[in-house]
Amino acid sequence: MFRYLRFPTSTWGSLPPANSQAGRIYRVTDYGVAGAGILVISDGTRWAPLGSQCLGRSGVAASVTGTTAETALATVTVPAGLLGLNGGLTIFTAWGVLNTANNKTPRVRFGGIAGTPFYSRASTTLVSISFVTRLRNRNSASSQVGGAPAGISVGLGESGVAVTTSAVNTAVAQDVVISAQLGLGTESMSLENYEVWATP
Amino acid sequence: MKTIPVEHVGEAIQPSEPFPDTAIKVVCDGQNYTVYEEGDELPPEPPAADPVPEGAA
Repeated sequence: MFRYLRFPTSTWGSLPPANSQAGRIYRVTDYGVAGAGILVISDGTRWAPLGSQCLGRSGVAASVTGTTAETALATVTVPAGLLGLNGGLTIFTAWGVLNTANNKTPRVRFGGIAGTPFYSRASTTLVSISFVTRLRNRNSASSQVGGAPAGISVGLGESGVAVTTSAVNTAVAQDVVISAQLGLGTESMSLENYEVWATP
Repeated sequence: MKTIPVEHVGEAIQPSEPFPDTAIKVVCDGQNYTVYEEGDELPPEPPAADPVPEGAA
């Protein structure tokens, strides 16, 4: 039945007005995975992700050595307005780090390399790290709440620290930046893989 | 192989252009991002760390 199912395609900026397309689905070609894009649906007022849509992913290792500066290892852009008032992001990251006494800090920031860190946890004697970072607009395009404090050691669980919040304006395009920072520049750490998902 | 200079944003660094889709490995040395592609000789892996004893992490 769905063998020949195809959706009209468009770039994000060229989508028709949502108020004239209620219930219609488009495939947006300039975001998401190359060649696939993302699927969005009009609710009559705006274009929203049709379920969870992958904005970016990679299994290509990206590593840093030779500097103690925070170093961006992946950047994924969230289209302007895609999140609406209540949309969210789920970011999976997996890291390889050296088992040494020096800090190795993986981060997930929202709002660019200088944006709010929703995950930032210095590690020392570990070898690998896998983390889930969540954030969601709180009935405002410019107010987000995270799924956990940025610095806790588990992606899901309990903490005595309040969840992270931010005031990033998602009505304009914003970057998710996955970065790494070494405490000792002669060491290294690597982003082994990541996924960034937009959710309605 | 492609070399992408870093750009500084405050105290952080980021690539001055996106990584190409042909990348199979990326290494930043603080000055440049070196993007390895199919057919390139890959850099040596960092020295193997001692594994953390089971249950110690």
